[in-house]
Amino acid sequence: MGGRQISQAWFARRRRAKAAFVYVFLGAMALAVVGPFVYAILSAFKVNPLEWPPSLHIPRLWPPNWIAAWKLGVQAGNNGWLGGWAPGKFLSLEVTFLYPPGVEGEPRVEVLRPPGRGPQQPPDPRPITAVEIEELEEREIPEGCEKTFKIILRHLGAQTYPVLPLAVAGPPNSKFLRATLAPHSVRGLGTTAYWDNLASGVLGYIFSYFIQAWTEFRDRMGNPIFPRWVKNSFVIAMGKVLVALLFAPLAGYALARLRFPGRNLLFFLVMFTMMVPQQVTFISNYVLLRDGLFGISRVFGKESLLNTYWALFLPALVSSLGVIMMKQFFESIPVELEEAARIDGAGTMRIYTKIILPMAKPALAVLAILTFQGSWNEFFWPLVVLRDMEMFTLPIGLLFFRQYYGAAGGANWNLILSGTVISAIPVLIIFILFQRHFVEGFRLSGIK
Amino acid sequence: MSWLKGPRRNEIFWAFLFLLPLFWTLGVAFAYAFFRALWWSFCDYNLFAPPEFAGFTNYARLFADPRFLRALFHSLSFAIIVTFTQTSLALLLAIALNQKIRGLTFFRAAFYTPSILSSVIVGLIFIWFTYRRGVVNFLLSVVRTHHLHVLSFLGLLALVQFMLVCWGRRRGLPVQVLDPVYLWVSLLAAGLGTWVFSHLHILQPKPTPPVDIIWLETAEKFLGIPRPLWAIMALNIGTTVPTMMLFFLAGLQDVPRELYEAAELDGASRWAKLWYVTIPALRPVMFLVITLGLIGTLQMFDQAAITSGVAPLDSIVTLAYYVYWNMFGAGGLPRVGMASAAAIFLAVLTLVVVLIQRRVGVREKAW
Repeated sequence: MGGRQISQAWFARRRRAKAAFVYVFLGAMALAVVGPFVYAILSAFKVNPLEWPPSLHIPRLWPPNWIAAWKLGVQAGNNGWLGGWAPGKFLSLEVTFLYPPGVEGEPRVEVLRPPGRGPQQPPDPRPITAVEIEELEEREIPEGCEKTFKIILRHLGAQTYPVLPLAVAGPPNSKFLRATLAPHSVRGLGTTAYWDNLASGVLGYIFSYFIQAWTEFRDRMGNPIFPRWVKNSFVIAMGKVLVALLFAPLAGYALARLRFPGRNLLFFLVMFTMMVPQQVTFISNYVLLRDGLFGISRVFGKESLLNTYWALFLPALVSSLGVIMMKQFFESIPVELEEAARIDGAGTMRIYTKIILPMAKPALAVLAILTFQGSWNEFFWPLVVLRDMEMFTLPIGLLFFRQYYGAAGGANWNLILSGTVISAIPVLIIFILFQRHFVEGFRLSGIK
Repeated sequence: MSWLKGPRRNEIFWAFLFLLPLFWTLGVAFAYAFFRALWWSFCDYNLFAPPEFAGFTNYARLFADPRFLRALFHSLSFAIIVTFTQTSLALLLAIALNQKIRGLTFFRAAFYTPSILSSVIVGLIFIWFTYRRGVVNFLLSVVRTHHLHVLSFLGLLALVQFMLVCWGRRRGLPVQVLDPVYLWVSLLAAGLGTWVFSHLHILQPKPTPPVDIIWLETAEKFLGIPRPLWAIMALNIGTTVPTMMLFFLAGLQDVPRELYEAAELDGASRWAKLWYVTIPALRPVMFLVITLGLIGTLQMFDQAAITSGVAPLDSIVTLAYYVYWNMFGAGGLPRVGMASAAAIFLAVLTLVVVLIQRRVGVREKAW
């Protein structure tokens, strides 16, 4: 340990190196937190999100396939975006197989029945199609012979079909190599390429699982249910925002500024409700709604309020968190303005609407955003009061989706993930636009 | 009754009017519901026949029900383990990373993602990740196949760092064991060395079967706590630590510099400064974070309900889920009495745990 002179630069280097560690570490942490969500979004485009080993090779996100899907869509239905298999159209596809020595014969082409379940399927949806197949070229490679075929499909019927599933099966022991459009899957020990929809167009190709999640699951009348869930979530969230904007500032202002006996007790009670689990109060509130709010709903011809939008608004008309937030905000603004207005003879209501509310705009924005997000994500209470599938909100619906699609060995996780991604979009957009307000909200709601 | 006259009376009238919606929520949806639950916890009630008073039978039945005892054990261990781990981890990270951070908005956005998305989204991705052939087991398999690489990397890292530190001290420089400049050099050297070794086939991936841990569909236990619950704990800790760390970082930035300077004048060491200045200054934030954490974890419902379709009930049941299960999940008529009794028990438990924490754990005041 000599008494050596150490320059300032030496220490500065240490500081910079440490800072670099801090940023790398924070970046790694951000990746660990966000990575699963990004991977989930990507996997919603996969044929099988439970593939082993997991990979980032996703044909639906590979641009050459987009071009092929566009071209096929134009050929099949004059629509590069959404495709369709229209009468009088023809469609050509190039397929390459590997023929090991000794293997002979042309591939067999078969137009299939569209997959999927539900009553929306027509009795025989197979388009009347003529198939031509010709060999384009042969190339010798060490493993055998690469043969490329051109397959031309002609629509001879009179009806436009949305879906054109196709299977091309090479002779036994041949091997499918590639095609104009990457197939949905390769089956039959590698001999058979299968497309779930050749006439999908580029959007139909990329977002096929999103479209399927959106439309496939239907109620008894044949209407798709997923859009209902989105609508329910929106209606309820918007309603809750309106109710919160109306009532929470009122209560917050009264608790912050108006003097009345029992004010502190009331505020304590509001704080106390945050600690009592919802599990205590939900039983009584459930019964309350079942009995139609002391029978009031019978006046409007409803025996029970369960399974209605009302059930989600009525019990928690004002959230404790909103009231506390607004109270804290009102306490932070100077009291002089109100006093001046009062001296000028303005009444409480006038002061509230003309002075207080306009000043509270930023806090109201925070309240609206947090209320929307809270309602959009709410799980427990909707789970208790919503019984019919048509009334579900997105979280409850997604849980149902998992039971429905995820049951058989997790076969359809792409649909579950697509639904998940769709349901996350509104909150993500709001978060990206108003990140500052979220942070403000977390701060205002206690963690200061 | 002078306060009932004049402008004061006017103010009380307006306050009452402003508070009407709050009175509705507090009165009907909270107080009335609370007392009704309390009353029903002493009754036999199935939602259809009128409630019949039954004294303490429900509470007695609760403690005779092994599932309730499991739920109690799960909730308590979940709350204690998760709250303790996430708070201490977040605190340690915040102290380690304490400096002015640019681009905080970006990191904050990333860290908040799990908390702004619904628990169902997070839960579904969690279920998908923990499949037998899911991402978690895949990552574990990769580590297992490449464990020699990992070991060689860590070994080289320690070796190079040790040599550099010795060399630096020889030259009379005040280097610490984890000197950041040397650590970068060691990281680079260890990475390069491992790459060269694997390129020369000295290190080869060991062909091993994929890791086959069943995370959710199992009743197996570790240290008395079922494996699915451990997985949920890991999920909770992993999603809250980053945000909590941001709170602590903000708290650290607010600690007055003079305190450190005064401590330095008194000749305080790094650890003394940490123990006598930093930690006490963070105590108000810690108190809040721990209290909110305890309340939230004791009342954990969402993850239990979401995984209940996959994991066996007795492996994930918590008190909150037990209440719900008695109402809607048990088959047959709802057991309102049992549900109410368990709910009241949960409320009292929350209160007691929070009070105990306040008494023996982290206090509210800084000094």
